Amino acid sequence: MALTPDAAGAVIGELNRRIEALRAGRYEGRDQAGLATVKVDGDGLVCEVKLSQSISRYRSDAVSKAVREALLAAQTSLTQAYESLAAEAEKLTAGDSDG
Amino acid sequence: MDEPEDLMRATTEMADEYQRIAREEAAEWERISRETAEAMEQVAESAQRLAEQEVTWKSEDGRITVRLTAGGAINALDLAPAMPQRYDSAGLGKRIAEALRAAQLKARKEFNEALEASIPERVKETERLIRESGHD
Repeated sequence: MALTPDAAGAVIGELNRRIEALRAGRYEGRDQAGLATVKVDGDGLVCEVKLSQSISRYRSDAVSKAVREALLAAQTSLTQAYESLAAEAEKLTAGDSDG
Repeated sequence: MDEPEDLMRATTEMADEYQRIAREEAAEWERISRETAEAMEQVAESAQRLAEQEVTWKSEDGRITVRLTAGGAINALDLAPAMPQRYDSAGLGKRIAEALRAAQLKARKEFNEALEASIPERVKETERLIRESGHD
């Protein structure tokens, strides 16, 4: 079913609001060993790296591995947020949403 | 007196001329649209290839090297030996975060510049025509 121009405008406005909210968010990931936590912003840029207090006991390559793993998890979290929005957008444009 | 016939002929000729111009313009837009679509496909292919190209960033003191792509993949994060012992955890985390962000910004800048350079003139020309027609 095609949306009316007014409904399409409302959907576009709603999607723009959600995209802005998503871009303003922070997305976190951790490595499995719990050595590193990385946060990226809505554009995927790194904004914070937190390391365990015990990090000085580890070699550089182990720290690097932990950070890369945590960053990948943070990027995955961001990607999932965009995928959820894309799925929601599909519902909205199909007119299936209650909102 | 054949004045009405002259007027009729002139009107017909004018209508034919308008139709000819309209056909030519339609053909020209068709050609531009087709060429632009082909060029955009090439740009999309370039974008994918450029997003996978590896960029290297190195800190001024040489202690941190990051190899990454504009697409977001961190291929390597090399920390100088003993860095975890040289800094406290907060200081090391801050240094790594700054390094990763700087490397990401460098990769994106190089990607954008390379992509801009890869856009064919015909696409830029079409963008200009669309802007001028007020349909952007």
